[in-house]
Amino acid sequence: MGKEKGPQATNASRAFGQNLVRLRERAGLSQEGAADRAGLHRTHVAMIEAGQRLPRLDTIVKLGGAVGVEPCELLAGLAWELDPPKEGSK
Amino acid sequence: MSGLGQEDRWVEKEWTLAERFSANLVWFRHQAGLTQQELADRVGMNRVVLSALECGRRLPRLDTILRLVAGLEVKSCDLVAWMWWTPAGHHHYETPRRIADITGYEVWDFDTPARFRVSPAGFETRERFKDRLRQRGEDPDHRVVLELLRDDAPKVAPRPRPDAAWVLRTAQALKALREERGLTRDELAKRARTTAAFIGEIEEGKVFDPGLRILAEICRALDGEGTGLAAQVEPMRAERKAAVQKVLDELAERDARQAEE
Repeated sequence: MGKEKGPQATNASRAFGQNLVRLRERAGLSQEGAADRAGLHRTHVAMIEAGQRLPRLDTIVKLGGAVGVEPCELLAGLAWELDPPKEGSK
Repeated sequence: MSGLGQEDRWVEKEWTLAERFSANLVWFRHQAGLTQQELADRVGMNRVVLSALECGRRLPRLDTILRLVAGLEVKSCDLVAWMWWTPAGHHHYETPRRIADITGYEVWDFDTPARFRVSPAGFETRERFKDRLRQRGEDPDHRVVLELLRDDAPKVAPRPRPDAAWVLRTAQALKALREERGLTRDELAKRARTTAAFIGEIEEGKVFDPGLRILAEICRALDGEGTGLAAQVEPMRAERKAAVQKVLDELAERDARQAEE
């Protein structure tokens, strides 16, 4: 599932990973510590930080709680360019 | 159900994460004046998938959240609002003197499991709180209701964890009560939905931290439904509720005063 990731998805997961690393380090947590507080496996967190995974909403909220921020802070600076509407799609 | 063992719940109805997201999504879709089909077309998504999200049957992935944020022209904070995660923690409550005299429980010490917190608040409420923050000259976009409450609630000084003497007193109080009721450990265990072995361990003072939920169950089992010892726990809940209400009232009063000035 989700194998055909477009460039936008890649950018999004990468930016999310960078946000997570920044906020985790600000909270003074190790990768393992953050994973523990989030109730996730350390390798899962490592993959998200490396931008190799598009996290699901529950994972986003967990990671936010683990590093002590509102979930949306993890989405800071992330945006999506929508394709222009197709002809006759009304 | 007496509701004991649910001490730590803030909200009346427990929403799931998916339900909360769906409520956010539906609200902002209506704000944008779009139908499901229109929004689905705009963000390049299947309408069936969007419908599942709006029914709270599905959790979106990061890319879906970002698409919807773009399609609805909202901030990402809006779609993932009102949901939090609390890591596992340790809690410590001091029992009011009056109750401690009766029960012998001077402190309640318990661990809470990690869990999601989801607020049932609507967006109207959110706007009200934002207005309140604006009035106080604070940035309305960086604060949430619970933070506001936390700031205004009186700070509780950290207390040491229960010592051996407390554990022993709890153990003795329990054992005495059980014997007074003429119950065996087995019978009590059955009523409190735990094991006789665990009750034995508590009574022998081997359990350092039995946990609030199990203590409440045992209290109820010892006293029947909603009487005696279990009823003694109720005032604690009422007191906490009153404390929160007081903070809210004070805030409202202060705002009213500021509005007059």
